[in-house]
Amino acid sequence: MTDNQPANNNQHLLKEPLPPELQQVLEGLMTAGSAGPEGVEIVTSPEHIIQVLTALKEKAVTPYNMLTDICGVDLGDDLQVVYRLYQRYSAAAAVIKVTVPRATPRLPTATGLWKIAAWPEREIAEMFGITFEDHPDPRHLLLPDDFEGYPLRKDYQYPEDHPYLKPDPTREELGADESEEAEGTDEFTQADDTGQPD
Amino acid sequence: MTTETRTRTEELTINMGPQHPSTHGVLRLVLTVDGERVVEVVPHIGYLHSSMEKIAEHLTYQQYLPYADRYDYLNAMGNELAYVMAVEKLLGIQPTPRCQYIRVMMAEMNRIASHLVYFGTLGNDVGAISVFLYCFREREALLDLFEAVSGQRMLYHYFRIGGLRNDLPDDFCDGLAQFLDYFPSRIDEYDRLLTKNRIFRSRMEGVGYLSPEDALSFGVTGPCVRGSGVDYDIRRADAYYIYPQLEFDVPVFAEGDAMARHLVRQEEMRQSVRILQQCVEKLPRGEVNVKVPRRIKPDPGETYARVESPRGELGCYLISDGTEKPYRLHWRAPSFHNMQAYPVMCKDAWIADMVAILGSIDIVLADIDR
Repeated sequence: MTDNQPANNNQHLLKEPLPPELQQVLEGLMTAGSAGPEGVEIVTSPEHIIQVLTALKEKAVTPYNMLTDICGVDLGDDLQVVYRLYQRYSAAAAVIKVTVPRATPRLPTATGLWKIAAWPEREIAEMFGITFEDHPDPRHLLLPDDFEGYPLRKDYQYPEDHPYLKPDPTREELGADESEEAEGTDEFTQADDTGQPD
Repeated sequence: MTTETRTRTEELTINMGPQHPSTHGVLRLVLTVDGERVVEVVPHIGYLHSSMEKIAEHLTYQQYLPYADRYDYLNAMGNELAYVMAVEKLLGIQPTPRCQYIRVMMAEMNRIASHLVYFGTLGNDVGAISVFLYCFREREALLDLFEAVSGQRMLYHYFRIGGLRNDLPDDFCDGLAQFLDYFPSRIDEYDRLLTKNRIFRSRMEGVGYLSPEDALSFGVTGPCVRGSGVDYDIRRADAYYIYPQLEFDVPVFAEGDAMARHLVRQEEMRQSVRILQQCVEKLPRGEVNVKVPRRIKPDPGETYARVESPRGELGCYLISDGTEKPYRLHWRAPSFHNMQAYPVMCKDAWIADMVAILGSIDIVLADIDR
């Protein structure tokens, strides 16, 4: 575990148990589940992810039938993929989190369930190095085909010889300024800074 | 004795872009065509990729704000709105009522300004060049108002975490009210000039069909999904700020073609005018800023804030690890997902129609590539 790792990812969601109908639908498929003001959150394993998504899309009483986004997160030891589903016409969200080991990051593709999954999965594949099995088009999406490394991983090394990616020489000076400024600042309102009359 | 002449046609692969005037930026499309008919389109994106998400991990929460402007540059206020909403949710801050009104006003003005650019460039794409000039005349008035509040005409950096850079200038509401008085008649003008134009209609009607099922499966949002008959608007489905108190309609057209998407945007400008008129009338007095610590260090946690941008659902997924820099920031970019449906809309279209279809999705390449 690195120091940067979020200690508790779900602190903002008040921990309440999942509604019983969802618990029934997801019986045996999830490792943890909670409900909160921002929706339900389900943690599952790579083997069960497609079953969980299918269950939420098709078997839930009020189905979560819109996949809005897929996002990758680097947790340090592991990588995580976050699926965000919504019930159509409503604010009810379901957040599904899957953790994959950093050494062998593999996940099944969700393109069979929603067509939207194709591009976000390609983006996660090139940015985090997670392989989506059976993806219909596993090419790079945003990065050049010959790009090496996974830039959104926390341990990504910027290539030193690249003319555009050289570390900013002024960076250290700025860092020094920051630490000086850190002391003795309590609260302020932005209006103080602008000098605008009320 | 007869001679049999066989004509054999062959599919041809051609390249459109990255530098092509109709692609609104740098987009490369690889087309497989059979004569003038499109068999397959493969979009190649990433030419404007600017590591917006990686940059956020190296900057403090306040330092990232100007970057939010730059990623969908036609909707700078809307991007700022999504970002400050996400940070404020992490911090547990609720902006003041006056601030909420002003933020909604800015977002709606930006929606009109963005749709005006859409009108102008779409006209340009299909050969109605003069519309561009009319639309930019009205956009100019809006940009003057933006300049009055923020000092900038395009990338405003006006919202702050916990409030705004400054309150509105004294004569702002008068200027806006004046604009709102004459602008509806200008929409009528575009209607006569462009939307009712016979040539324009024959270019737009019946092309680029997107079924509601495909629209939802592709995660298409915004005017594109409402042009396919799906009544889905974040301002209603997941209403934020003062939207529940405002009266406005969500225009929906069921045809699913390029014309329907165009009509949604035209009608949306009228609705934005309605929203702005109510805001000017109801704008409460009071503070615009709440007190926030100078060094913003949200507790570890995560949040997702979404707003209705002119192009659809704009989401900001933010994870904090308790330090003053975001642990992870992810943009749910509307153009990115809308663009995925483009090959489906182009199925069996003429090459010339592809340009009109692309215009009707209203993409911003900086939004796609981030």
